[in-house]
Amino acid sequence: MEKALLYKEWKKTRLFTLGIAAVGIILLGYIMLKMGRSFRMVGMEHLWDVVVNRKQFLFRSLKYFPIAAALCLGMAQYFPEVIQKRIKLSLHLPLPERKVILLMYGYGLGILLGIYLLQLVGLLVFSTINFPYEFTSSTLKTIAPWYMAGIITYLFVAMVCLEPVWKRRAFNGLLGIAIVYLFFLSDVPSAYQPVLYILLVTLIAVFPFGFLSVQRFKEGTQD
Amino acid sequence: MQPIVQCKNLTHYYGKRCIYENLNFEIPKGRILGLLGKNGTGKTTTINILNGYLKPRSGECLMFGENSSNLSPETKQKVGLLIEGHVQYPFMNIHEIEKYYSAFYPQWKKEAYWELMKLLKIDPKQKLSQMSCGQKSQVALGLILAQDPELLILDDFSMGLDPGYRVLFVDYLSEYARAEGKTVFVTSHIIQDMERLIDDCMIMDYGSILFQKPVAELLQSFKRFRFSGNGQIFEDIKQVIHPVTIKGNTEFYSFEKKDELARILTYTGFNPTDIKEESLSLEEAFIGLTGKY
Amino acid sequence: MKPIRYTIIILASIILAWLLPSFYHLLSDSSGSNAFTYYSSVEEAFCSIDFDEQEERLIRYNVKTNQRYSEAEFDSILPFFYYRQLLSDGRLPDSINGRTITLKEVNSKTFFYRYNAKDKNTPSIPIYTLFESFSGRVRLEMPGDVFRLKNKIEFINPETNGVDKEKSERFMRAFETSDFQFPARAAYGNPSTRKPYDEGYFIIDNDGQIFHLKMVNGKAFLKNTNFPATINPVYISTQEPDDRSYYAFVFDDENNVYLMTSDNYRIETIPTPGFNRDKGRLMIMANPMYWNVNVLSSRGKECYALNADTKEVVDSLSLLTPEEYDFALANILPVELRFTSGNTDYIKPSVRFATWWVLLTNLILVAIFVFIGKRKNKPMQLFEIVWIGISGIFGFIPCLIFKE
Repeated sequence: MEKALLYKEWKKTRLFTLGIAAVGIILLGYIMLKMGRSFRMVGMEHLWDVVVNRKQFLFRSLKYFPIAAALCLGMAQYFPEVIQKRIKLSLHLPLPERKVILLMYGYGLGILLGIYLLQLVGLLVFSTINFPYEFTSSTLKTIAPWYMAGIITYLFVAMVCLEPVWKRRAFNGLLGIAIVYLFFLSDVPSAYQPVLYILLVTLIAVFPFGFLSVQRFKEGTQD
Repeated sequence: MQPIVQCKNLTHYYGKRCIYENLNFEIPKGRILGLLGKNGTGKTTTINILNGYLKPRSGECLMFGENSSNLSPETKQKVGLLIEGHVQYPFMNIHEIEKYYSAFYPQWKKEAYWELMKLLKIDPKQKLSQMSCGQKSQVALGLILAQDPELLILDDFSMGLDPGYRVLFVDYLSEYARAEGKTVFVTSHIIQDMERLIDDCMIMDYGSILFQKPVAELLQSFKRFRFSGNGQIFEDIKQVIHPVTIKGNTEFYSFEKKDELARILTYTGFNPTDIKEESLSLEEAFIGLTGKY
Repeated sequence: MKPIRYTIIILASIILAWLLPSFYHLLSDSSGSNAFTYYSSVEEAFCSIDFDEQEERLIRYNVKTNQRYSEAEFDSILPFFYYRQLLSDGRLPDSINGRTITLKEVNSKTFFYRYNAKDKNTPSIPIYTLFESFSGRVRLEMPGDVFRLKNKIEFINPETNGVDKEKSERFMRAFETSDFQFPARAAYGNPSTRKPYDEGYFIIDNDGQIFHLKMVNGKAFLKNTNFPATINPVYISTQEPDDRSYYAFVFDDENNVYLMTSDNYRIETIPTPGFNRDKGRLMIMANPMYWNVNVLSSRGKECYALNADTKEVVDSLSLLTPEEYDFALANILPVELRFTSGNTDYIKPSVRFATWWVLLTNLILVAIFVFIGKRKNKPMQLFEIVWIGISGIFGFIPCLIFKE
């Protein structure tokens, strides 16, 4: 039964999933090619100098990919469930409702994390080959908030879509935008280093929000 | 024997608007019950409460003895649900959707589904999103038949269907339900279809249930009467339902026999000589009961 | 489901505690006074340029006597600040108050130094570029490698991303023969080719000693500066001034500032009362006779005139404004939450609390909330009441929005 539900999620989001994965890989490839060009044009020494002393961040093009990917996947997954209240079909399945939602979450987060991980591994390999570990560590600290923001975006898309009342949807959306904005306050590399754990706590706090929406849907809340 | 569905003292409001108060009804096992009512009388509300998609202001619904707001997976397995508009997954084709649902129901009856699919002229690769409304309704019905549930709940099954598909749907369903002894709860706004299908009818008006009876009993006892003359003076007689006078001819409805009716009317000092009694279809009976407006 | 709703309310309140005050500031903030102040070596008093609100123009005046000056007069009152103007007008004096001055002296002893808490509080990658200090070339050239320094010194070649073992060992020997205590805390230098010469790095070791590291003819030059053990340095701003009279400004953990001179690393204390290395800024405008030290904070600035030779305070001027009272910030918004600050590049939450009067506002909001609940026949909501009592307006809004 669990497998069948995941199969349905896959059928529903296949195009988007493959599209997002492709864009993620192409984006990473593009960054690597562009950097390879810089290596040849200005030399590694200059590039290192720019990174250390002028605080340039080489992987800036990745900045909005995680939230864009999460937005697309979340919409692809939850929007069809809202049209004609199709989520009723899933909630009517002979499975505990919480499990149904957890499986949907699990599918989306799994796909998202998979794509993120693919990108991160590529990035890590590239960075380790070309740069000292100090760069890699700074890079990870810089991009960590972006990827966490991606996951939060996904969770909020689920929460907003599944919520039955339009007014509440708008407020949930606003809350989501404000929280995601919190992850993009600075362009300085590693600026979030002292508060990474706070971001993680926020992420965990947001995780169950969608269940409230489902509960409200189940109760047929109208205002 | 315990009824399959029991609704006790259901009360629901949308905001300040009362849908109904203290609604009680039961669906006995093996009956096909049709819920009839005009738009906005709470048909879908009732279906939603029954399936746990709406929490009533007060009262409760029991399905197989379980509170409907928190049905166990075992109970859900026993309930086949057709959502208003034959909602299903548009991104699947008929093979995929059959494969999907078969995983959830151990006693899945593949043949029931494919028998119905054979009647449709569709390409096996065709996605549900590319099918006509009628084709989609057959897929949704086929899935429910394959699920082989004890209770079928069908919300407005005739919505958007061509006459041909409506008849196909009704014939297939009634044959199946009678043969297998299933309990069915249907709503539809096309009452003609219901007459071919249902055993019992439950007629809802704003705020209450007018009555719940076998259809045959209703049609036998509820008649329309016509005579020439003005009928305005009957307004206060409770046995005379919805009298209307147009150009000196009056028609009204009643549960009373013609003789009895003539006797009652004589009390009022009126003595019509040309009262004609007419038998009704379910649709006409419904209009007679709920009024044209 | 209750805990989820409470989490949403709390999170939304935190977000509002951050956004509402910042929107409020956008609406209400006005710019404070931004007067330029400089100690006149002619008048021996602070002189100022400020915007006069009544006359709606810039005025130049002596802060002590309140005497007004024209623009040309002002140039000659502050000869070191305006010496280029005076020079081009042919008005540069030979002596000031009996002290002979030469153009060469003015050129070499006049400098500006700025410190911003952001200079120190910024994430950095601990990879350093060490120039050849004695290349014989006029221009500095990139050395072709960088070094890392934690438990050992290691030179890395950027082209290969590999360690230059030979050079690393050569430099490591210099560390081993000194009394340098690994791990190194931090190294401070100016890794830029746009400077007249290179003095390498000043490194704080694990014992708080300061070492001077240079590369001279490809060899390691490492010297203990014998920095006083009683002082705990936390930040060094390495300078390479034209006259080579000093190496760096050193900041300790008690907000003192020292000048490390090139006279065998002798240190001089720079008086900077009221300076906070993590929250403020420092500006030093030096000339051959006086050092103007400005200690800047959110409340304004304090100006000190130091004798250029002894670094003793000869005059001071406080331009601090009292903390502005703002009704909403003091009485309505219980806290002001910020994540960014002009004092650091890091994202860090900081909280400013309102006065106790805000509890009254909170109480009123609780009363309104209870009243609304009563009118809608809702049962008592203990969590909401307690939370609004604590968080005031920030909790009140989400409690109304995210109701059951």
